[in-house]
Amino acid sequence: MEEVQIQARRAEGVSRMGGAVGGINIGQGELRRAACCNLGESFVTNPSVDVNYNDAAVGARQIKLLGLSGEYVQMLGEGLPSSTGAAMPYSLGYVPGVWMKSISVSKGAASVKNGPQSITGQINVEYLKPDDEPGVRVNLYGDSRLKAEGNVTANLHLNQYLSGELLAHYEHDFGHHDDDGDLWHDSPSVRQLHLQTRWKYLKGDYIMHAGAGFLQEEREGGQMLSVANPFRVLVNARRAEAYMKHAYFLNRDHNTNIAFAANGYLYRLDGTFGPKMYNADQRNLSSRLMLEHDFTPDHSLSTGLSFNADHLDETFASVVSPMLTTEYTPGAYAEYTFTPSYHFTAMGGVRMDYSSLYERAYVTPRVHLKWLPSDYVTLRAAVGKGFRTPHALAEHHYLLASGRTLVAGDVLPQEEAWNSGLSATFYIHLGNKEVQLNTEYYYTDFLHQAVVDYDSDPTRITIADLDGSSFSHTMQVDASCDITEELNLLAAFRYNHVRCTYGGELLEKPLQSRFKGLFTASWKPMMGIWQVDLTLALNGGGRMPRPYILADGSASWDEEFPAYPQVNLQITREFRHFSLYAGGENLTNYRQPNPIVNASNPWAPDFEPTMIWGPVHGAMFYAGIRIN
Amino acid sequence: MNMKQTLLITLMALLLGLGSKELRVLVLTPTPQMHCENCENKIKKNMRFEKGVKKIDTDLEKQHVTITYDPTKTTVEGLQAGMKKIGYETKVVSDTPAKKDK
Repeated sequence: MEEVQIQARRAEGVSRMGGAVGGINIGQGELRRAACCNLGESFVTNPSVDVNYNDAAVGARQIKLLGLSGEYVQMLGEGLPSSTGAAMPYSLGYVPGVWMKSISVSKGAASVKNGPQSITGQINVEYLKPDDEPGVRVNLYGDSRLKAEGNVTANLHLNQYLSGELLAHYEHDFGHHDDDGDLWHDSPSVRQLHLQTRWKYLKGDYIMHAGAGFLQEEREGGQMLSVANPFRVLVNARRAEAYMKHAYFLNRDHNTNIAFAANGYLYRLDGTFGPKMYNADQRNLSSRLMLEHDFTPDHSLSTGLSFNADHLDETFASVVSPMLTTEYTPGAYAEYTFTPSYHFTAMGGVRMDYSSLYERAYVTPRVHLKWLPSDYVTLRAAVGKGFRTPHALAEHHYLLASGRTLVAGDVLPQEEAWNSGLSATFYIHLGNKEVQLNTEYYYTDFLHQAVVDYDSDPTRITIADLDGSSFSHTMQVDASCDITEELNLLAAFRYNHVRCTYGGELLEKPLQSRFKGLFTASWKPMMGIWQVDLTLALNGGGRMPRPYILADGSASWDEEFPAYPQVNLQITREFRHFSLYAGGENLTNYRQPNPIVNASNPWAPDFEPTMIWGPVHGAMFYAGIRIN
Repeated sequence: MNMKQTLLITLMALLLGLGSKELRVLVLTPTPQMHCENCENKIKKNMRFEKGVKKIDTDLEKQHVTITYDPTKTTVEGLQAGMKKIGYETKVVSDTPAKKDK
């Protein structure tokens, strides 16, 4: 309930989570401030989350939270685990923007309820609800890169208990763009069909959610077909998934409920990266049984059992032995929340899981504290552990596009890290205006990590267990204010200090911006009939992996990459039954020079399309319509 | 008078006209009652497209919908008809001239 109250108070700007776990909520208003074709594009106006391209050949994107890669963020769809393993590099593109109702991002150690996997945080997507007001919504989008997209979402209430919805998405790139003239696709053409149906049944004390989905995606990139013997990059993926959640209230006065949730997916990926092939077949089933009870309003307990089965079958042409990984993980957790007053909340959770793959049990403790010394200040502190099973090759298979040899065949130890964080939010009143000022600091320290090492050997990319230390410190300050009823401004600055040991040497994590500055302005004149959104970002420079000397005597790349700006603008006009929007991204037209190293000779070992730190596309313009 | 001067005078007249416009404030109670934020949003979202509407506030506790409007562009009946279109019968609580800002 607290979250809802906070959202109601702050319709725009940064909406913070109300519970003991620190984080932010991104509602539909925020999501519509940018084109937001998919989950990967929904963080443009958000100061905490970065989304970067991994490489120029496959076009995989990843989230970065607290200066660390996306695999350390646990991705959830309505509280259930979503794509992992081979699907991870593309999973941000698997959630269409207009299907989403809201996103919540919790930073640092999250609740233990959803498993031990979250290390830097947790991102949960809530989809449009079957029991929302019934209707059909159509969204059409087109952009200057000749990408077209269509979405239809429809829901109906079959009777007073049962409601259902159908979500459909299709996207198609008609263009084969080469802004930098290197005869390579700047990013692959993507064709995706995605269908989902979601149902809700609510009668008395019983609630059920169930649904199923199907996705098919084809990515086609690499060298232009006009080149003789082109280096092609093709990735085809198919996913079928289903989920169900049942909850029964035993005693509403004490909020006592028992819930069972299960979801599973089948995922098939076939990839060709020039001369290399990679195929993955993944089957995953997660289930959990939960019991929650409030003894008194001050003391509440959530406890449960879980069982996950993950089966990954990989074939990779240059590895001799077939790679078959099967892991069964039974687990149990308990989480206790103590709320002696409105001003103080303490939450402590612990879970124990057993991995059949590593044949060991491991304990994940997490503690969160929230203290409101006054109505104008909220302080939070959290510390907790996280564990995850790395699928080194599956999660990084896009690195196969590199001319280097990818060494990632072994089963690596479980990744293990401590995360601790402090945050202070101040609500400062200046006249009749409220400025929300937030400061935070997070520290992540790895005990075991699957480290992607470009530095030790210029002919290889090695993914191996951490040997030494690896940590990240991030500090962020952001302030937002409704200057008038119609105008909201937000300014933010984040500093990342990320270090990892590569070949025995503690080095700055490569391809990671040292800082990010963000300024957004949202102006909604005439009761929001018009909306103008401006986003300015300055991404700091950082370290490149150690360059080496090419055959012609020159260095493969500079030692550092520079800071670069990004400007986005969108204008929306609402009508009673539809809205029109148009905008531009990367309006400064800044592009990373030379994104593909040795682009003319992709069959050579020094060919490198994975050295991406900045935008690979120039300015892009788009327009769309949303019909209700 | 050349074109520029004509334009300038028209523009000034327009601006003065806007500044001196006598807005009115209409307070309505809707039936059925507003229950939650969704009802409030539905009213706000739809009524902003009615001609002459300048500002809408809702108050769940008092069950008031307060609409600031331009009486040269719409009427109380017109606004009530707008509410009826989205399923709300309304009773007029008050209809008074808007207080001037400043």
